Amino acid sequence: MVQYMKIRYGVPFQIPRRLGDRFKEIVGIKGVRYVRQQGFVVSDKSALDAMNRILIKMGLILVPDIRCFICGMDVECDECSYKDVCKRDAGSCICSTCMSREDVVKRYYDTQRTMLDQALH
Amino acid sequence: MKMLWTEKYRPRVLNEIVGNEEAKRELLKWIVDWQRGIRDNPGVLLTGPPGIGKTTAVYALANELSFHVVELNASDYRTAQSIYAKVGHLTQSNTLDSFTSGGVRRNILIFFDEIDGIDPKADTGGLKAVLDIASKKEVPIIAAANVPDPSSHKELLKSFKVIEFKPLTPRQISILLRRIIASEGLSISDEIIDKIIRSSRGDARLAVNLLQEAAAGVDIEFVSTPMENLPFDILMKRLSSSLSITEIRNLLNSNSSQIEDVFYAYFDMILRSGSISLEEKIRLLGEWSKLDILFGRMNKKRYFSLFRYINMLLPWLIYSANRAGAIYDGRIPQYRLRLFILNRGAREELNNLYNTYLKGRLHCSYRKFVLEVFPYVCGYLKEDEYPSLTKLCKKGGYGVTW
Amino acid sequence: MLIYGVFIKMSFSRIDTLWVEKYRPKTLEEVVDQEEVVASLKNIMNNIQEMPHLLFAGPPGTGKTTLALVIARMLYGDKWREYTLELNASDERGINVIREKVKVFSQYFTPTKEVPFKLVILDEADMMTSEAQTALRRIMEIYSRTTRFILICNYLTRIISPIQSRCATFKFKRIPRELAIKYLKSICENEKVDCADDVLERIYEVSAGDLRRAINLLQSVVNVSGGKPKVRDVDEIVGKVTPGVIAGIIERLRLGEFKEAVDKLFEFKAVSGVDGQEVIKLILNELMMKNLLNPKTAEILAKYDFRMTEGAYEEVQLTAMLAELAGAFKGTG
Ligand SMILES: Nc1ncnc2c1ncn2[C@@H]1O[C@H](COP(=O)(O)OP(=O)(O)O)[C@@H](O)[C@H]1O
Ligand SMILES: [Mg+2]
Ligand SMILES: [Zn+2]
Ligand SMILES: [Zn+2]
Repeated sequence: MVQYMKIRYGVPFQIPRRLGDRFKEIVGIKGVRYVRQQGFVVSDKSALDAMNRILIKMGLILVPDIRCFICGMDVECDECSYKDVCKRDAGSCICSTCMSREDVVKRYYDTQRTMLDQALH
Repeated sequence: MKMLWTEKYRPRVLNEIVGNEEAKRELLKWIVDWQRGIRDNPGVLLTGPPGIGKTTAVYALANELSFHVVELNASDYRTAQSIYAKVGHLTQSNTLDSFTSGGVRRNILIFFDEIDGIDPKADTGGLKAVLDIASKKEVPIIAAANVPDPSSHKELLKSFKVIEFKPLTPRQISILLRRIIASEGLSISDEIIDKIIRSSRGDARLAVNLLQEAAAGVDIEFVSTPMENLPFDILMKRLSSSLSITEIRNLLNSNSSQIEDVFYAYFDMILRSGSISLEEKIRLLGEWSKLDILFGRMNKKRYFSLFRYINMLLPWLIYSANRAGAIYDGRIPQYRLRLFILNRGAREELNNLYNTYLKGRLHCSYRKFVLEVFPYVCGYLKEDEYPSLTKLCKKGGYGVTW
Repeated sequence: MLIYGVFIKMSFSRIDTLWVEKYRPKTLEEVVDQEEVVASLKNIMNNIQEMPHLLFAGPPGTGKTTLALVIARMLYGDKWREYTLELNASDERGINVIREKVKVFSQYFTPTKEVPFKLVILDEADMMTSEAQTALRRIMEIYSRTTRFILICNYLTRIISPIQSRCATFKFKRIPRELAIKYLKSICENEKVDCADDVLERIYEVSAGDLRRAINLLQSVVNVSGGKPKVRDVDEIVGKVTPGVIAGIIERLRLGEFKEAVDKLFEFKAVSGVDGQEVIKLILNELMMKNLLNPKTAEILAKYDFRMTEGAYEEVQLTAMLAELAGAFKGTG
């Protein structure tokens, strides 16, 4: 049984396994850090791939959690037609439902406007 | 020249920038905090590959919040003096953290772009000055680097808040393109848009450039692998229209097998340029001469480690040649070609002439023959026997004919 | 004249076509000027058995090679080619090649009363590095029983002293005006060409005591004009031959026509095939002649002479050098 676990790039997470010697190996990967009391931080896809090569032996696979910037739903990168050229290391993307709407450009900017305005105040 | 879309559609406010939403929010929050007096970090370091909006974000931010940007470039880094000359006075007194421009009092923001282009070993004086200014926390400082961790700038990394910018996702690129397509009223096939998205690899600037090329009828197929080996003249066109060192560096990196040809082609461009002044030519050609020594040592002595320095220097030289007005006109570097052809044809004939008729009877060396005899005798040569030589002499450069 | 020209055009097989060879002196008496040299050589030739190695030094076109060949004729008469090895330091690839050739030439030779030694004429000896010259000295010693050397150079100072001290040295001077013109006139007479005095004067001026250049110019001017040369013809020709071409390049630089200067230089370089360092040498000479050599220009030349040995593309170095020279000239007005 393989367990899938969603993680976010740049956001610390714990690994629900006893790592032992593997710990050193994992933090040795370029793009992987360990922050005390918070957990591992992965910066990008290639680091995640390297980490998965180790974790799969323990029955765990990490999948990046990329959310739709507009609606907040899972982007489902595996279904994306650009999956062959996408590095999947962005903080967010746009889901296919939102993408298919006529007014996606306007909705994108509107969402961002709201977000930035919040930061301003 | 018609306007570049990368300029025309350069975002003026943060919201117009597509992608890296979280990074932009952090940046905005940092500067807002700064203004409120919350100054945990002396500055921010933006990292990430070129063409994804780092520089744009800084200017958009400044524009929105009415900052006056004092931008420092690599040459300012050379010495501490040049840094202080430019910004020192701004930070000398804490009442001077604003600046009057266009009748409006604006706060000042110091911006160091492309700090990865600086060799920290050679330029520590300037870097120290930056850290020194930063430590006072009187003026906000933003730096930008085109590598994820500019490890050579450890000090900067230590104290600055690092905000990472990522390449845009293909769908984000798509959003960006749709906006321009709508605004330009273009009708462009989905197939081409798809190609542009795929070729751009998250580089927004490249995507916009490709869109403009496609709109102008350029076959995108031809440029669809922009980061791989480009045909020489496409590479040269890209290089000579590049306005950023990073772009130049990336182009060279992904076409490193052509670096020597680029070096030579630029030499030719500078030489024959009608718009570069003599003073500039002296300066640029002097730089080319120095770089040529590196090439020479590398080739002759097989010191391939020198390639590192060439890689480091050539982008800067191309950048300054571009700034001086070097233009690629699509021609193959002329002298190499000319020397090549003439070397073969004319030199063989010259050798032949000496060896068949004159050697041993002329009582002089080949060198002397070439300099002191040949120019006087080429009038005797039969055209069908010495076509290259006679043609050249007739053209009037060297050698007497009658 | 024209018929003659056409004839030659058909076949370049007669070396006499070239007046420099046709009128090359074959006896001591025919040699123009160089009285001191000729006098002491006469002395030496009185006792052939004890002839030392000879070292001829002096500017080009003053009769050094000619005199060496005269000596060969005096020693061996018509058979001189058999006993003489003519070498050119700038043609031979390294001292080893020279050693090999001398070895083959001298090895199995037994001196006789008629032919007491063989003769090696080594021209442009000052083009050799000092290491090569040291090796040369040893070669001279090894074969001293069977072989005499005549070394020829432009600059005596570039010959290492161990060689100088083993040779009888002869310094050649530039040919003075009257003698040179007289000689040119005798050639004209012989060739039945009518060449006015002002033309000959001009030829002398631009060839500066170099008889080879003077004779070459005379022949060209006769060819070009079809028999009635004008001063104008001389000037036109000078612009198309070394070092006139170089002078033209420098003139362009002085006028600020940098690009044209570069074009001219590469044209010259392409046809002649001379290498970059040779070009710098030619420019140096020309600057000296024009009194344009000053600390600034000298430094520029030195800098690029050095860079040339290190760099990859001669054109890049030469172009950068011309640019700097143009700048230097501009500075001085
Ligand atoms: N002193 C001289 N007397 C007569 N002819 C000379 C003399 N010097 C040079 N020449 C002419 O110039 C040509 C080249 O001279 P050469 O002896 O080869 O000069 P270099 O001194 O360079 O060896 C000769 O063939 C001859 O025609
Ligand atoms: Mg000679
Ligand atoms: Zn994706
Ligand atoms: Zn969505």
